[in-house]
Amino acid sequence: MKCGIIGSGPSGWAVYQELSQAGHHVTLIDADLQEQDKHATNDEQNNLKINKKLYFGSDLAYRKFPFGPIQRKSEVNPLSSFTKGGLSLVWGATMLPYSRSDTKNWPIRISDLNPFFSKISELLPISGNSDDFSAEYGDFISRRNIFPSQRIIRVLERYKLRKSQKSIMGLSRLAVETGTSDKSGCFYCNRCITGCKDGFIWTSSNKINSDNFLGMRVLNIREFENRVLVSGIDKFGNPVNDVPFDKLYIAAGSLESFRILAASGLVDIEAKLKDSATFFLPLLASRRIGSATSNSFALSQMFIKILGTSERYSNQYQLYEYSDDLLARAKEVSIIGRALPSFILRYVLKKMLVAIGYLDGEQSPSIKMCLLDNGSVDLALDDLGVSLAKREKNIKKSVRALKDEILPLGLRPISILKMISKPGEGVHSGGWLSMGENANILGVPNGCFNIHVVDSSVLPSVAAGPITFTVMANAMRIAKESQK
Amino acid sequence: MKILITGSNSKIGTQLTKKLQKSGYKIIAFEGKGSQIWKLGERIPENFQADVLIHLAHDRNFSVKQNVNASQEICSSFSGHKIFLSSLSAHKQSDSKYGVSKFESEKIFLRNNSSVLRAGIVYGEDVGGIFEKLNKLVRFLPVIPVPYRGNNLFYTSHIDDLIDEIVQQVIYPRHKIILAANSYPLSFYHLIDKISKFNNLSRVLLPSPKQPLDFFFKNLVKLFPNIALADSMLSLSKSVNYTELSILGQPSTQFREFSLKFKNSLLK
Repeated sequence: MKCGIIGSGPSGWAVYQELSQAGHHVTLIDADLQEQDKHATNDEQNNLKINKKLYFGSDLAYRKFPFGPIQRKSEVNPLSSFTKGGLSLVWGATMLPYSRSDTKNWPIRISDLNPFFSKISELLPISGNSDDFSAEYGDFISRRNIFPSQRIIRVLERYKLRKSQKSIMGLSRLAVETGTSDKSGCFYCNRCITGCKDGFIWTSSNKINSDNFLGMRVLNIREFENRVLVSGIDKFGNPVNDVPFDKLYIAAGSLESFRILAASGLVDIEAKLKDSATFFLPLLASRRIGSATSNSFALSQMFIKILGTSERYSNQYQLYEYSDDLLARAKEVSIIGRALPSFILRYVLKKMLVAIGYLDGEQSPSIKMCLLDNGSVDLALDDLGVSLAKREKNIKKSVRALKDEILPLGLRPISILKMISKPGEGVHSGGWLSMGENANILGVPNGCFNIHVVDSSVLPSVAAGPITFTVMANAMRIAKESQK
Repeated sequence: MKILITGSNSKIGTQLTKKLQKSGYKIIAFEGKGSQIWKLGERIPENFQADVLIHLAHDRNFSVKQNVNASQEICSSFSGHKIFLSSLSAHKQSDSKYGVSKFESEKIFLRNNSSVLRAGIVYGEDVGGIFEKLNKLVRFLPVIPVPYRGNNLFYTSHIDDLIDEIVQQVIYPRHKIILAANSYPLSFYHLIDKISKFNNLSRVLLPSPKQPLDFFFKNLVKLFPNIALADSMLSLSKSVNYTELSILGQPSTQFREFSLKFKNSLLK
């Protein structure tokens, strides 16, 4: 069977693994705009004199292209990437599956994905430690030798002694190579945010075989009885017409997948993109927890899940340690940061931990996508969904719940300093073509036969917390079951 | 295959000997102290040559120089593969006599065809060492002073895992420094708490600050170099940093997380 996959991000990569193992002829299609990419040099990385958007050595995910989505009044800011590897070039590498309560409205059970979770954990280095998350989320860990910062260990020890019914805490689970008996791994240089020079943070960009790769930005797909024709333009602007496939898998990220399908007339030209609201919240550490001392890594170090009740959805927080990049960022964004001398600011920041909070998709504003006549996507806040004021209220409620849980552990949230991201900026979005509603459980949009949408577009819910692991496992499941 | 073990009368040594004998190896056991044939600091006698040497012997009463010289003697008199049991308190910033002598010995061994295992605090039933001392302390004292506010971190290795890893090194030698401990550390406070809970004792923990204790132990070791406990405390005061830890080779055995419920498989 001749299969095509549009998009080379994590979900495209997962489908590629599954299909090529089954012996099919697989072609991966991506816009692959590598030539216009600017990589930070080692010198620039060492001197911190780089644009902070050159995260992970590549700024492509943050670039605006003329053919990219349009944002009205810039009230929303979702991302789509046009390079090999997609958003996995700039991600935070967090790998936690959905829990059972996150998948209440799903047409499949989360346990159906378990074989795929464990398969991915064999292919990817997932570092972590068996803890309370294992019972709720499954124990999909392939590296157990990660060294969290001393303060995080103290917080977790106090949590273990206290044991609350309302929250789960544990070490973060990251797709980071920490070394095995015959492979070296992360050496804690603390520079994760500006890009891992040694490639220890997993990304799908360098795992793709160039023989099966086709560099093309897809504009249009046409479906016939037993084949799918794909047309588009390559990176030099030359048209590529009617590449035939038996089956087509679309993994281009929710924005691009929508554009391709809507432009081809396969779905409505309006859709509602679910999104998980994200906010930044500094935490002050007590004297028992102490201030940051030794170097650790700059990715998220600890997960806190505030469990939902009948009237409340669950929220997730990811904790980050102090890093020099945080200092640079504080100087960049705030007036107080610029006014204070560096050593005082560093002293204060070392007493803090940083939390990034995520609300459930149902509690957050959603984004209205609309295809324009010129072929680009218009984005705006969905008026019918949760309003921005309601989101503010939900965040306040969530911070209050967090405060009850972490005050006894020696951490105090500083709510005045919290910063709320625009809808879409957290990149935890999807669900505009949810399985069981607008598509069947194999991601086939209503009315299609051989086209499978495999990325976050088909998730019926956007949970608080990382979604990549579930998206990858779901993509793998679709790839496997669609072969029958 | 013939294996030579130095320090075979130690707690780890006896259990390791048992395990290797069970697996069918021929063992030549050298007790470090009180032995007629060989003493720490001497050359390995030529009529006792073997295929692999496991060096466990260490004398806390020796000075750093004496211990390093002893390692030098062993390396020059034995040409085969060697396994050296070091400790995680052996690192660049280490102040303690124990840590420094292990760190210097490691360098000599690495130059001479050997693998080095850096173990954490060895625990289990009847293991001796710091763990046994802490255990006794908890049972004996109702109020326990917790040095360094209980914040210092420890890495732990269960004795079974450590022995498994040594056996792995005998079969597949890896000329490298290997981290022979669970990578998830434990604070002193938590360690004492776990020991007292395991023994069903309620103990009051009294955190005491870091600087005066460091000062006290440093001077104590200067005046009386032979007090082992003072030296141990000093070696626990500074923990190894992550950059140094991450360069170490990863073990082939999965080291389990600290819990007192595990029983030794080799005791009976």
